Amino acid sequence: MKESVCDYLDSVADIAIRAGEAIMEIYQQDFDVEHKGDGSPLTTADMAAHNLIRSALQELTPEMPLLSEESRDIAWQDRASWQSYWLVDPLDGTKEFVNRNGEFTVNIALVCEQRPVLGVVYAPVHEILYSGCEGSGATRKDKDGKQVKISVRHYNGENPTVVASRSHRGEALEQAINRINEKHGEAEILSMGSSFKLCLVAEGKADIYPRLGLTSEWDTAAAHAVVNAAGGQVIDLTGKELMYNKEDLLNPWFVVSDSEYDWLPLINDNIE
Amino acid sequence: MSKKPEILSVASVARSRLFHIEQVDLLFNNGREVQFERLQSNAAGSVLIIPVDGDELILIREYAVGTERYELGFPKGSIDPGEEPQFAAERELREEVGMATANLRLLRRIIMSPAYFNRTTSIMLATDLSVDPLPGDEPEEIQQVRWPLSRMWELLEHDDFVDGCNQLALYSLGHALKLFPR
Repeated sequence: MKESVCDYLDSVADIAIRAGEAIMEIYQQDFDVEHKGDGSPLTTADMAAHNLIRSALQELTPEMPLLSEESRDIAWQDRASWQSYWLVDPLDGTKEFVNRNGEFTVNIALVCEQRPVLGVVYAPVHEILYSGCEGSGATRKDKDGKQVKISVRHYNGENPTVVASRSHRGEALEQAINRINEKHGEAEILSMGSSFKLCLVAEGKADIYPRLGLTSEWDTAAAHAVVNAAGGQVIDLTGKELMYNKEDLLNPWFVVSDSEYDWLPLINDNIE
Repeated sequence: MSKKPEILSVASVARSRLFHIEQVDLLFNNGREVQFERLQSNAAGSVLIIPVDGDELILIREYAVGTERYELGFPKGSIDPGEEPQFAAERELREEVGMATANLRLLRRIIMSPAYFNRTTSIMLATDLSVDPLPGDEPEEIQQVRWPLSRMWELLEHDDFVDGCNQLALYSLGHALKLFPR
């Protein structure tokens, strides 16, 4: 182990970028969007990124265990004793990959004592890299190589910006947005694929991302670390921060925002 | 509760196609002798699957001859001998709901009536669903009911959602999602 976990940031960012390049080699080929399952471009890209990340992280930290969406069947008895581990989603946003809208990401997080302390989210099509580490802040690096510090914005009480799907919202979310509209004025809706959504809050482009649906731990860990490092929070509807390495690897419904304004009463009202 | 009672003898008293009843003579530590009965089962246990499609639960309405009513509940079934619980869950989901799952996880293992039955039910959550039916042994087509996750607790007050295992499955899902009934 290095002195501080944040010393791993550059290496992990480099690994995520290389995994993104491996995905792009497949993404740039012509492929049939209907073709899913084994041997499909999606599966091939997913596995290529997974294998690259696994071997690179093994070289970086030989002792550290790894849980990836592509190797999620590690028994709970084996995981329960992990103090720290890498939690990886090599390709988050399969719909976005197949629909070719570019909003898919490579996600690598370091989880210590059930909390995500370091995270890197890389969108290979846009060449945007979000990274964050507890104690050293969060950054966004763009295609032109420019790296800027990012932080959540503090809600100013005016028409809020909400990250949500434009089309398919589900009843709980629809009602939550209605309550937000009533209290704070018509919300601006930002739509985006994959773990990008959490990063929109981290970089202060949106006030809140309510996720009232099912997600897995690998979907959120890396972006969660970025949000934390940017001064925000990812909490369940009881107000507790999301935890990792649970037996079922399932996230509760959650809300991403800055930690000053309490959105929960507006989100929670109809959850009976 | 240190020492368990001693089992003096086990005898088979009735056997049908599905049930096998045993009579067990016991000696408790305080010297009392009693006779209990229990059900033996040759199945390896059963699975209950909570299918979640987007923000909806998928329930089924199936005839239950115990209550002589159609009951609302989650798909479930016995694990075939030698079958892994995970495969049993995938099979039952395809047979009863016509869907395959790409993401199945165990929420809880329970035993409904340990007083006379030693059979584990694995409660599993199935997501990432796609249409993929498999013919099963159901005597009639099973009716599906889609139910918004945001109103999951209303099921507890539903007159035909009474199976204890189903109610517990609902609480297990709520526990995992940190959603609690009012």
